[in-house]
Amino acid sequence: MSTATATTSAATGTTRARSSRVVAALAARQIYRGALVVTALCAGMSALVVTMYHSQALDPAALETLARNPAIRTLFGEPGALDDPGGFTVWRTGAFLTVLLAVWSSLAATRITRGEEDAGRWYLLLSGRTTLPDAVRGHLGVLAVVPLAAGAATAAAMIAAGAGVTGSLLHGAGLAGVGFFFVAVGGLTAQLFGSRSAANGAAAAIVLLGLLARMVGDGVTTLAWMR
Amino acid sequence: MGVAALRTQHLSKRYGGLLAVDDLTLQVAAGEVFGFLGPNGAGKSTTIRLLLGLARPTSGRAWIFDIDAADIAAAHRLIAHVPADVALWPRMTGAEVLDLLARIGPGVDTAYRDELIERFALDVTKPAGTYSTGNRQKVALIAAFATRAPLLVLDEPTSGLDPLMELEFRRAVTAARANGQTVFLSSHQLAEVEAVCDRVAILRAGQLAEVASVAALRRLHRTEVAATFTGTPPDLTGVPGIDGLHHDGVAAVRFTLDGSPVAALRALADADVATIAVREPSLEEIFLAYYGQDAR
Repeated sequence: MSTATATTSAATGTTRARSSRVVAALAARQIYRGALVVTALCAGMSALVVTMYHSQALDPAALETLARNPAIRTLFGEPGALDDPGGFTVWRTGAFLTVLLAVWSSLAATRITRGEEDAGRWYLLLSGRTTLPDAVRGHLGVLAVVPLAAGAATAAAMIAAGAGVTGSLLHGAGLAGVGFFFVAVGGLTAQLFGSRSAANGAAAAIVLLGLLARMVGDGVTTLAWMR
Repeated sequence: MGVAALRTQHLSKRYGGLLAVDDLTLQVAAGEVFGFLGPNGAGKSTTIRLLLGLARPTSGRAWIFDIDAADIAAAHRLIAHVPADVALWPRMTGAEVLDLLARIGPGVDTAYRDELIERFALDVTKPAGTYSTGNRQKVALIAAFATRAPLLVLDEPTSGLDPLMELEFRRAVTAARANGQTVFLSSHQLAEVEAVCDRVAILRAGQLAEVASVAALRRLHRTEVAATFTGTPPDLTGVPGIDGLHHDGVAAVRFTLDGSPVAALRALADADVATIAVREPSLEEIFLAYYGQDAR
């Protein structure tokens, strides 16, 4: 490689790194409000339920009966450890927080990629040195941090409220994993469909199918293998 | 001859059954202000998308200073672009948008940017969501000119500007030319093209109809005149400069005026003129008259 070529490559690398930072900052600016709300909800709700478990005396027998009710089991899932503050919290809030994170992640992914492109704002962005794959990667990369933050905040809040460390970390990792998956789903549907509404519809269908499969698995004993 | 600022060779783009750009071969020299004209739907914006590497050609190729237009990272270090419809991030202020565009673009001359903000009278402290079409266009224009990029690709850049700001735009183009920059200007406005361009390409139905100097373009220029009279209209047949003479009823005439208006005005002055309307036809109308109704 000649010196001139090496210099040009280095300059291109530097400018690309700089434009990647700009794209990341732009993406962060577009999602930070929603990200803060989702993270606060995940951590706050989990910590609240752990605290309430400690402060309020629950009737274990009544709780067991309630959890065995097929309708309740279909909604909340099969309880793992109702006698533990962490286990109870995961059973009580897990389904809701999973759906919340899945819906927000997929909608945010389509909004900041397909939505921005549809609105014509990416035309100016792509007139610069940013390529379309770089812009999509940059936006989804920043968005993927949010489930990680929500999962970490949830685990930290549960531990701080008095739940078990291992279980809290596992629950946080599970939430982060679901969020990651739906960032990818939203990112994929945004590229597969020509409009934001169609991409949202496809992503919502995947969320609903996943939820339905989980509910069927939790509610029908013969399909317990789906849990 | 040095490296062309912009070059296309047999460039075509097909969208399903529609051939938006058809075998376009074009070359724009460095330092030239080049007009790119054509009626709506002629393929101007598609050509610009191909030049920016934002759409993949069905066949043919395009180069920016001998760099393949598809190599966006390299080619866009030499380009600044103003789209026809400027969409900005509504929560950002004008200053924040300009800063963002400066950081993703090929560089910025901040002193010149500040001067342009003054000249275009843009309040950059307001959120972009409150900007009118013209103000959004000003943001994109200021950002593009402030880059001092070797090639400026401008797509209908003044469609939302008032006449005073159009003059500022022309000044900025003249300054860019003096600075050795190349300007590729897609426009509908004949006056604007006449004022700033060296050469002009005319596109119709995706095909290059003509590449001409502005002097040649002026020969297409016609003024439409409509006059009504209190008495009998004068006989304008054979008056130098008058063409396409029509009588609308017994006391009204319409004609097109080409070249010096002196003879026509003299003929009209001798009659009892009640009203007179002089209209500059749009470039699109001139195209349609010149190339026929199949211009699209």
